[in-house]
Amino acid sequence: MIKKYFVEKLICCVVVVAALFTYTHIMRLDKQLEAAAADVEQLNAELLAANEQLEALARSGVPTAATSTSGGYIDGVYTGTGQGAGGPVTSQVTIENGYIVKIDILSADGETEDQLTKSLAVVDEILAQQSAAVSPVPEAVETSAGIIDSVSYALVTAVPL
Amino acid sequence: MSPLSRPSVPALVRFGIQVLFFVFLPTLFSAAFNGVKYIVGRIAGAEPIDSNPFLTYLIILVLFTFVFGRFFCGFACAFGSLGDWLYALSSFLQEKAGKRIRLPDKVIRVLSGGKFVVLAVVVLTSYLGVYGKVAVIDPWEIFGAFRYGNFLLAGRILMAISFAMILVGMLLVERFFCMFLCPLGAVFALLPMLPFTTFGRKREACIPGCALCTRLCPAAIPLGEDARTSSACFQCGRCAVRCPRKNIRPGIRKLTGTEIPWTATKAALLFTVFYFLV
Repeated sequence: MIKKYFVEKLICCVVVVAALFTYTHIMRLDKQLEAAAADVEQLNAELLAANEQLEALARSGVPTAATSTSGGYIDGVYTGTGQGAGGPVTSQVTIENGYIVKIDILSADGETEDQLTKSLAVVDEILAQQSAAVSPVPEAVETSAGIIDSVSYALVTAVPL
Repeated sequence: MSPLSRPSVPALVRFGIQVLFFVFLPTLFSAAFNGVKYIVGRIAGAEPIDSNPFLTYLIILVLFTFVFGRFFCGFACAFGSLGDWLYALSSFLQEKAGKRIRLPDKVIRVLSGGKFVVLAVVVLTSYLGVYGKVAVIDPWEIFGAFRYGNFLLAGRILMAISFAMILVGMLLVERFFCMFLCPLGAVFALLPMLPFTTFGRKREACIPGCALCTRLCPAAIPLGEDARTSSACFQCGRCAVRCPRKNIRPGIRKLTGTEIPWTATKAALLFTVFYFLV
């Protein structure tokens, strides 16, 4: 008697409050979804713009990552100069299909035959690592360091934009 | 003055508390009801219901009412207090004139449904985004303006007329707005209220033929009902004070429900929460 309608009203209130909470939760998720969709659209637009930029560059002849395929470097022949034991060392780096395929020592006048022979190991290493970030040969430190530097300089313009 | 119209101590305490809230927290009613409009507005706009100060007011008031019944209506609502004071004046004048204006209970009961209509209209128009059309007769804005000393009526004629009509109603019927028009009251009427703290009437112990409580009741709650079954009770305590058999008490046995510390505690709780915390 005391509780006439109390229990019914209580149940109704609980249901209403639960419904409002559920509604709010759903709406928040909805908003998150909308925000995420907007982000995706934004990224898509940026991607499209970037692609267009890339195509324009490619058309104008500037080498880009898109045109050099696999390897990661831009195809071409590059020269660079480093400081060896007795003077400058110049090397020529050939990139094909994005890979370093050949390194020629164009001039190393200040180096002795012995130093050069011992330094050629770094050339193999660079070819294997496809990078100039290799260590010099301990028996011919300055000469091999000079060769590494020259390849580094050559590769500066071979790295895609 | 007849014994019935001599104010009791609890009645004076109630008057004091009403003045306190009227002076320091006159906007509780509209703030809480704005919470209702906020919820409806968010649902109408398919937005989540985020935290909002009006919503906080509403939630606190709803929780308070769940525990203590419609104490807010009886002690803290500025509009309710205004109604009480206007009717006290009118009562005094009626006594002097030897007349007594009283609506038959049936009429009161039918008209009491009016507050649900008002609530429905406000909710619907808010949902449909056309609340502005109804807002032109919202008496609360004018009351708020007057309360803060702004008496300019420019551009608010309809509101002023509506307010004036309500004032007349308040003079003719006790708690006219609360019983027939208050949408927040309609919200409260839909809430469950704990039996422990609200007044219950023990009819078995009544003096046969006595109907003092229902005659004094500002909400005109009939003898067959009480605070727990009627939801119109404002917890004013007038019935409990005057009952010759002390039949009207809260569910907590130890209380008579009209003790001043008990009333003061409820008032202090409500006042503290709203004045300092919100």
